Amino acid sequence: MEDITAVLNKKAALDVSAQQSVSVTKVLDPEIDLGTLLCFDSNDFDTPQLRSDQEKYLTYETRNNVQLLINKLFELPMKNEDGYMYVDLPEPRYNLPREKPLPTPKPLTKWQKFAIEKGIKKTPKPKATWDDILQKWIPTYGYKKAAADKEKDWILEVPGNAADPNIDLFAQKREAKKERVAKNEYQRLRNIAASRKIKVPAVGLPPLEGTLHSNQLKTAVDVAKISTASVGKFQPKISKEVVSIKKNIPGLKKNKIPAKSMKDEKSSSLQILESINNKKPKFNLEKAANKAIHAEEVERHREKKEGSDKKKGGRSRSKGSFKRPTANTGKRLGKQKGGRKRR
Amino acid sequence: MAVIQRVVKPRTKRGKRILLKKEPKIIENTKHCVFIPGRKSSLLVSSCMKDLLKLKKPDAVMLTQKNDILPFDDAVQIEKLLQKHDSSLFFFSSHNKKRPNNLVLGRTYDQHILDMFELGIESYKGCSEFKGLSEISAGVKPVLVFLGEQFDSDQQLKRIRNLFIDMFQRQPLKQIRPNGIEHVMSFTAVDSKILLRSYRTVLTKTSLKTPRVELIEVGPSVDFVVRRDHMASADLFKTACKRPNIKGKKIKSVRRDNFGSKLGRLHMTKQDVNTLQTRKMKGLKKTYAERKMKRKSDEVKNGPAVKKPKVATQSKKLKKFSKKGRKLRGGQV
Repeated sequence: MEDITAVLNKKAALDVSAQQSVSVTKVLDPEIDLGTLLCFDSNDFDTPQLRSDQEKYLTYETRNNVQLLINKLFELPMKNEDGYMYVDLPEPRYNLPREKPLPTPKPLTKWQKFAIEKGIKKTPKPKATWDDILQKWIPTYGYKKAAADKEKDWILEVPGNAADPNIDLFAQKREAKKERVAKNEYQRLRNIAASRKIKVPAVGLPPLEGTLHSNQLKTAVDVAKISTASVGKFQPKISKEVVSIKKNIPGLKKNKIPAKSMKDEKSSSLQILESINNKKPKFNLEKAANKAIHAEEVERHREKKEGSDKKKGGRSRSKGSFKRPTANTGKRLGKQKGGRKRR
Repeated sequence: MAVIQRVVKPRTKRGKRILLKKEPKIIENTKHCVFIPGRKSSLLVSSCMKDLLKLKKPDAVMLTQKNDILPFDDAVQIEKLLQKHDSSLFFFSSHNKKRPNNLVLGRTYDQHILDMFELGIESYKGCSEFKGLSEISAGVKPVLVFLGEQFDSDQQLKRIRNLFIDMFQRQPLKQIRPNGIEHVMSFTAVDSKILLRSYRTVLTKTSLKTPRVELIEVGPSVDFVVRRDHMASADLFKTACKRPNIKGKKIKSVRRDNFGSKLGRLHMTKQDVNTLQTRKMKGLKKTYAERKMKRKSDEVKNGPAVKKPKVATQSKKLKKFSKKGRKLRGGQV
């Protein structure tokens, strides 16, 4: 029994000494923010001690404050994970400025706004589609799609409504693609400008960088010409100036097209309708038959002529091959035997 | 139409990732620091910078080239340098006759200078004169102790304290190992000087739960005097300190039970038992007198019931007939 009390007494004495070693008393309680591990001590300094031994005093004061902070830290509920003891820190109370402003929602593009207004929803496109011609899966976009297009489009059909059938359709396609990319880029930049609230100049003004296209220069001239108080009415003509296409100038009022007669309007709209309907190559039976007959006739004619030539033999000059003699061109005409002309 | 010069648009996935990393976020990246040597520097300042770099690593870089910058005359160059390194804290060292052993520390908000303080080094003892800095594990969060009531009373020192905390606090933590507190930095404001000391902790076990702390100085130990300053206006500082609403709006009356099913609590008005429709029986049917009584009481409450005029419907019918009639009259019947 005596032993137990002795042990208990010993433990109590130890605890008291430990408590003494751990506890710190201060006139003003220092502000402690456990979330950031901060300690603000606004107690007055013991000036004589600070003057006599600065380093020792500073260490002493700092130690006391750290001790207080650690005491508070050990009061928090301890958790155990994989043998490590840790505590959950409270939210930091001390407010520090941010590095960057709070993120703002991304501004909608013109199309996105329109789609919301109209309730248009994006339909997901399949990542790849089966191509019947190439007999393989072609991705919707990417380099493999471009390669497949190249492989597939080695021939292009001339549409029936083509104004000029001899036009280079491949070049046209390439140009159209370029235009589409450029338009998309322009719209992207316009959206960026709108989101940053930058005023975009009207379409007619040429960009400040890079080499300009002649069309851009033309519109620039046009815009400059009408940019007077009298809207270019008294502007003299520049020498070698191409008649300006004023319809290209943005913001300029367009002339109203005079009303057509009923007959004209009907024919023009029918023409449009036909051109829309008739995108497939047109097959004109009559024309084709005529062509075939003509070709046949030509063939027959040639055969006939060749046959007669053989029968006749000797020199004969067809009407078509007759040529006027040319002097001193160094070319011999007609059928001439070799050797020097003997006189 | 020629393609106009592109506004920065990443061409590769990697480039996109880098730009995305630099974008403003709700929970931000750790603030990084750039150490910029000025046009001319002394041995003292440069070694002090190196020691501070040791305390700030790994969230810091030291530029190797000298930079001809005067932060208080033209801060744009510093802003650019910080933008390049995607960091918002900086130390700048310089040394000249007018301001010997000069150290400028500052920070930016939204790529513009927020605060900037010029500190002169009065006395300095480097890490090499002490022992034990290497024993502190890298990247450990230090305890920051500020001594002196001047830090609370003086507006300038208050802001400097904020800057020091921003500079040395490292990233905010959710959890910590209490025994893992290894590093202590103390800042003392006394006699218009700021004394920076850095210590290593030694925790000794006691019979209680909490250990006793002892400190060993590890350096650097620097005495600063504040020279010039540039402080953000209270307005700008307030906007910079704006905290995001991470939690969002509190959802009321909805909880989940242990099995993960959603349970909601509905709040209803009190049910009127008198009007409740119970089982219909002949015996419970209201008599004519009762119904009349009820109608009268309703009239008193809501005013006399309006009856629909029957004439209107009649006229409509008449019109229909008349149309037909006229037709008949006009035709040859």
